[in-house]
Amino acid sequence: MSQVPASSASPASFPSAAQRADEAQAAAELTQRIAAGDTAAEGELIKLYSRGVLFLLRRLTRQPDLAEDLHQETFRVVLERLRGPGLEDPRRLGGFVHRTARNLFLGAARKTARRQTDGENALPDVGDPRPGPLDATLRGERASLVRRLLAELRPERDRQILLRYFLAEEPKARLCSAFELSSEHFDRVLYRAKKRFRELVERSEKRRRLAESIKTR
Amino acid sequence: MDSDELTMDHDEVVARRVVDRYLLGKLAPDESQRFERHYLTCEECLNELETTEHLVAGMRDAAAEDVARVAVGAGLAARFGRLRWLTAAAVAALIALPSAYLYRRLDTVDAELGSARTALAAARAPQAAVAVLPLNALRDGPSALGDPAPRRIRLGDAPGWVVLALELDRPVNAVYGVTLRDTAGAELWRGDDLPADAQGTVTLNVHSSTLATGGHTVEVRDSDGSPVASFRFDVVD
Repeated sequence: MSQVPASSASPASFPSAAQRADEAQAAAELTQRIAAGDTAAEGELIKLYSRGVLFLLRRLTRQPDLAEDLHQETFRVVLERLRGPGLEDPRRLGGFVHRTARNLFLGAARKTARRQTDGENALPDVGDPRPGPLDATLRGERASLVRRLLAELRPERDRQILLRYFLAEEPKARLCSAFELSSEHFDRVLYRAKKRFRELVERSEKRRRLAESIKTR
Repeated sequence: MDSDELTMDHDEVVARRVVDRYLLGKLAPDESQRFERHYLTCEECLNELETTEHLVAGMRDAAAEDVARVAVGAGLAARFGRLRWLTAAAVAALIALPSAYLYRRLDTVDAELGSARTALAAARAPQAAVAVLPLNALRDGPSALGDPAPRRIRLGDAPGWVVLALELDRPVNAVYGVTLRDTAGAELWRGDDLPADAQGTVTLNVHSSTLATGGHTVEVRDSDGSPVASFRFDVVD
């Protein structure tokens, strides 16, 4: 089996979306370098796509462990193809990575469905989806951060907007009309709320890391 | 370029609030996949996706915690006791949706839960003789034949559902916005992201309690808010 270089926590990024021609060119160069046996290029490919592929697979599978497995498998398949026959159009590398991840997810889903209909002796393909103690703790922390955010939001209207948009899933147009807000103003309310939430999450993660480092000393 | 290779511009993502709509499951399948191809390498979108996903999940968790707390107080937990955790979680998640309004009024949650359950049970019950009203779009300008007389519908004494089948002449989008107005033009109901079927018909279930005797118009608009078609029907005694 081909070796897959370890993924990195800090992904590289193509230039802005407005420079799509550059992206296609960069993708073509990357595939050519991989075809030529450049292992550094393989690492670059993984850095570039790893985070996005993992997010996609987590969203599709709703199971972090399965997503991790399919994430590894995606890069194994992609690299094997690029080291071997290559792509018909190397500029479409992004589309190929996306298609591979989705196909692997569909394959896993079909396999699970087949096993579930193969009779009483079949083993379930997925693990117990109940949240474990760690997951429950993380969810509790996340909920408390949301409570803090909601308590901080001023004016009260902003809290209502957040709850009605994300929780009750009311359409933006209706909320703009109900609160007499322009579309831009509505967007600013959400932008500010998300920005503040990100700050709270980052601060909380920093505290957790600090606590863990003290514990391991 | 093949349709399965199309991606999305970052400007489009920002302008159309695609991140939120993707996470709330409100994008058409082809739009979702275009966006996925975009965010695979867009750090800005991935940051926003992760933050928003956590925010929405946290709001649902917080709302579910509040509802569960109230449910325990009201003895509802005992009723959920024999259900598997997954079912209980699904119930909590369902309850969490209207709890956007209940968040600040937890003391009234129990009463509202009771009403919601009754309404849910009624909505789930099979309904016979549901009125179906196929509607044709009004013409844009004067026509030699003129617009046909509006379709008429008589509502029964008991509350029930009316199915409006809005037949679009030239369906162009996967989803549409719809506004229902009474004779005076007052807005009775508005919905967004309503899908059209393969024949270009948008089907709308309207409860009879929404309608009153008299003329009604239904306006259909595309995702940019531009008008697509209008329909008329009369409710008679």
